Amino acid sequence: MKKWIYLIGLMLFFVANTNAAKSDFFGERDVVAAKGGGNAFRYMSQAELKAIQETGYLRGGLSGETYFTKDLYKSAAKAQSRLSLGSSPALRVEFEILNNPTLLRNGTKVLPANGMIGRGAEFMTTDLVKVRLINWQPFR
Amino acid sequence: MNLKQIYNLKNDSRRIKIIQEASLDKNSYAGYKTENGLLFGTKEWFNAIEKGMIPIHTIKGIISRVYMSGHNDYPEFEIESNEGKTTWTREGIDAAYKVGSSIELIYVEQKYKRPTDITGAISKCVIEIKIAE
Repeated sequence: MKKWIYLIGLMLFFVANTNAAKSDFFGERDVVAAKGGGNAFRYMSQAELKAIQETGYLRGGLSGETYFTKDLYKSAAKAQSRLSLGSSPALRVEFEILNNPTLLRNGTKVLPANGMIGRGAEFMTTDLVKVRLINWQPFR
Repeated sequence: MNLKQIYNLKNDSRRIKIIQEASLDKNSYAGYKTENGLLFGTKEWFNAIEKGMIPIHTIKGIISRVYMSGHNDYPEFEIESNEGKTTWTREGIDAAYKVGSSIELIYVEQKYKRPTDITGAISKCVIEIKIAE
């Protein structure tokens, strides 16, 4: 009898931990890796989307650090929180990178900043990032 | 009021080059449509602006917000004018953008090669920015 109770207990332990792995600390996990093929996302304003349309480069080809993520967030608040953004993004833009920028951050965990918790993953390069726009989604 | 020029597209060879390349690349979605044989940023294009063939538009107002958008890596600012609030990319001397300063922004309209439903068919292309000293 004790053996059966032990075995059932062990099974319940594994079921509970499997479910825990599917969610993050704050609840349901809404971060999913970008589809295979290396697509990525940036959370941005209309002004930046305009700059990409003009140039074909993230941030309109401005010099300096360019960040992006492979995390898909379904709300501006979630994106702002997990990526520690200073301002609320208007759009989620998915893109494919056409060149080979050197990544100085490669899936690095975002630290808390701007009163946000961070915990998302970010990529960063100082090279220009040439992109093909795949889709763009305004946040409500 | 003394307004100082802090950005002039004519001096921004990086931006001119990058948009020209995109505009000329037939395989790229990016860039502007070349209309009447006038390629963005060429001498002929600037002459067309000076002669009034490409009309200029001016926004006069006050800088109401200076901030970073995107992933804290895209410099923007907001102008409050008679027409309401509009947001723009910070170009030129970054330190000149201060909340409360008077600003004059001059732009021309250019057609995107491939419009999106969000940005529309026309881009307001900044050619000059002046800010009170």
